[in-house]
Amino acid sequence: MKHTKHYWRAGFLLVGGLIGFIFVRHFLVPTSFGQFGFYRGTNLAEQQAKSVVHGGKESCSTCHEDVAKNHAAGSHAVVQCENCHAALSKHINKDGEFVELMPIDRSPQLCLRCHRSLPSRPTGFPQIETKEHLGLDEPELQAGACLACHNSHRPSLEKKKVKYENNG
Amino acid sequence: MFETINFLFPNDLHIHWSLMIVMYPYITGLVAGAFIVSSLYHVFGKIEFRPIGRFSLLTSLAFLLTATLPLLNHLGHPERAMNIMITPHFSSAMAGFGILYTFYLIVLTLEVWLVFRKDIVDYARASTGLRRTMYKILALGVYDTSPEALEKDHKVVKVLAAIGIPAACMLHGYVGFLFGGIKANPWWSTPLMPVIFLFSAVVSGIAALVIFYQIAMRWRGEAISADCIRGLARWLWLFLIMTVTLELLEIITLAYEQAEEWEVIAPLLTHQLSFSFISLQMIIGALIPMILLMITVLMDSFMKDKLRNMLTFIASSLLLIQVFAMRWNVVIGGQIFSKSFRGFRDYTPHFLEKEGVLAAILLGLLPCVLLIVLSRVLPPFRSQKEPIG
Amino acid sequence: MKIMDNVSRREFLKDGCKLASACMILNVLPIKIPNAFASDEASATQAGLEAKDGYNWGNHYYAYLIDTRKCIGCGMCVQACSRENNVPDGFFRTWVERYEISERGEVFVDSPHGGINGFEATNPGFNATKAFFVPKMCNHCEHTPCIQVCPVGASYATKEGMVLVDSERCVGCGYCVQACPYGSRFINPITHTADKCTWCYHRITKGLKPACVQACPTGARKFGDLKDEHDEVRKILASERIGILQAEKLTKPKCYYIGLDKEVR
Repeated sequence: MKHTKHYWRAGFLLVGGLIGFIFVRHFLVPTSFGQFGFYRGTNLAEQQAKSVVHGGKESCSTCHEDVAKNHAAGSHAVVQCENCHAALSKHINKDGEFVELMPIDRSPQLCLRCHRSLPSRPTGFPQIETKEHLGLDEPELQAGACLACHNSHRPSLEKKKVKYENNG
Repeated sequence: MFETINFLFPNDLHIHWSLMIVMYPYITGLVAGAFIVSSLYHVFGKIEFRPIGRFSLLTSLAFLLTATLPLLNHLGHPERAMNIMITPHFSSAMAGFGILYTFYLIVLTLEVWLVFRKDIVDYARASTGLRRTMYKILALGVYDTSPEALEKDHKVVKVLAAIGIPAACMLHGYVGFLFGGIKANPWWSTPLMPVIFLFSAVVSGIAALVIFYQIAMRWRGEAISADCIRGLARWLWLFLIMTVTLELLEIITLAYEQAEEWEVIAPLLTHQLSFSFISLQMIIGALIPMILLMITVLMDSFMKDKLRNMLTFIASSLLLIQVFAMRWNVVIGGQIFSKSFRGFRDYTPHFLEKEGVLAAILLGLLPCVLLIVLSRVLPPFRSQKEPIG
Repeated sequence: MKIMDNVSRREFLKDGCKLASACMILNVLPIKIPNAFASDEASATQAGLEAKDGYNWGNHYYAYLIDTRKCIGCGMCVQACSRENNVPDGFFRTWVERYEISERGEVFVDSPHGGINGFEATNPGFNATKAFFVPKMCNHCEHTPCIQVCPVGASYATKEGMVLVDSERCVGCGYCVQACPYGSRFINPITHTADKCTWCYHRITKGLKPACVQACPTGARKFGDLKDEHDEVRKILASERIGILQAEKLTKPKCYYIGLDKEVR
């Protein structure tokens, strides 16, 4: 074929580029890619290896046995310690060492998160209007206003005395 | 911050596809449009487009070379962009991008190369030093400009242009499909989307060529070919009519069906997008140019060249706005309502942010600068005294 | 360390003995759960991914059940999720929506900060005759559009049926965010990659519950394993009337709802 030299050169460039791409691509595909599906297989292990932050109340009871017993006997037994305090990892690190004290939030807003009267809450769930319950509007409530009568670990009033004894 | 109306899903408070994703289909649209004009000359033998046959190819190339930049600027990890080629997940419409883009880039580059090959060789022979080296590399070191070789080039160009038309349509239709294939979004999810994108791409491409061609001729101090402008105006009018018809059909279907999504799309069009959709896309961008082009085409025999040039120039400028508004309304419009179908937020890009207005302006200017540079290296306009060849 | 091999979650919690508690706390501590897979696939063995601690992903297929009638809107789940997964402010792997609806069909919906601080009293401007909360999250759809559209294979489904994102492959294009009909995905502003609920994959593979399920005080959120005969969620799904979100999208969500209202999308 005459007069086709420039086509051959362009063709070589294109084919060379394609081979170069295939060659480079070979090294850029992660080795575990496609192992289980169209994704990088080792990502599963990476996802699993992320550290757990919340331990659940069972973790708390390993050290705070008394509080846990008291808590478990009352209506707040279903509430996780970490809901009102903080995540376990803030208190105890990965090696089981103490990091810092758990925060204690005495604000009525914390209690009202669950017990503020809202039409959207299931009827039958204990809810209060602060005006009816304490004679004050929500912003007027001082820290500890709820705790004056209720123990947050075991809130029903008849058990209050026992609770205080247990709790110290 | 931004205003919200009613209820949005909390994660829908964020606009993830910014102004950059408006720029991207706009730029690829110009690529496809300009290429189709060049094909009208190279394949369909529309001789009136001979003056811009080569220029439209360069325009297409200049915009194609910069088309990925808005995407790269938008990606969370631009350094991983090649993952789309390394591990393309073909169930994703987006995975086709790498392959379509590369294929089209190769076809277009080859076509430009062959169309300009004789010039390249001539420059290589005539120049010295660095310039000579550059042209020599561009010629791949082959100086064969015998009539047989040129004849062969001419045939191959025809084939490439014929391959390029579906490739350009695919590249841009695919952009429409990216949106059209998202069932989560009722404003995007329509099979009309690729077609609308394609037709409006051709509109924007022709409009851009009308403007670039007139500016280039003014700059060079040469006469604007009346036949060329007349032809462009006619095609522009045709494609505009089809585009607007399709755009309206989509809305009319949605409005007529009165399906669940209309509850969110009706307020979207009449409130959130009232300016960019009704005023810009439909009235200023579509109705007025349609009238202007109708006058240009139907009253052609009564028209002086200067008036025709002016009318097409104005119509084309408005059409560039129309197509941009259309891209905006699709991309941004599809995100300012929440998938809760209950709430809206507004979106105004900032001037200086990473994906802001300045970045968009620069990305719009860059292909124009590149086009000027390309036109220096490979002058697309033959002097008008030169014989046809 | 595998603690829940042949014991159902419920029994296990009932036991609540010291040993288990110790195990639980130990679970929080060491990060030594590499390559915890036993797969019958030869490839898994070749790659050295066989299990050392008994977690076999082929033995599980998870589902999530939300009883909206029990949700009190405390938002503890959102808070726990945010802490457990280090979710950036203003983005949500799970959130709670509040609906107030009048007799005449007026609807008020809100989700202030995803409900992470609970809900305050609100005035919808009409007399609400029906009101409820709806927790939302990734549905881990069986036919998920988000994996379909991921151009690089960064989003994938595991054998247990969860949808995860490989943040080292993700290019951050945001296509999956657009494709999710539920608004469950977002681009994490810190990692610049797609982010979403993983059903706490790092917890459930260690025998723990997802953080949101653990935090829920009323049992509105339940996590179950459909391959476990004694599983509570499996039993409820088999016997109760169950709803899913946007069923018409045919994504086959695996978050099941009890007590959905027609106004919930």
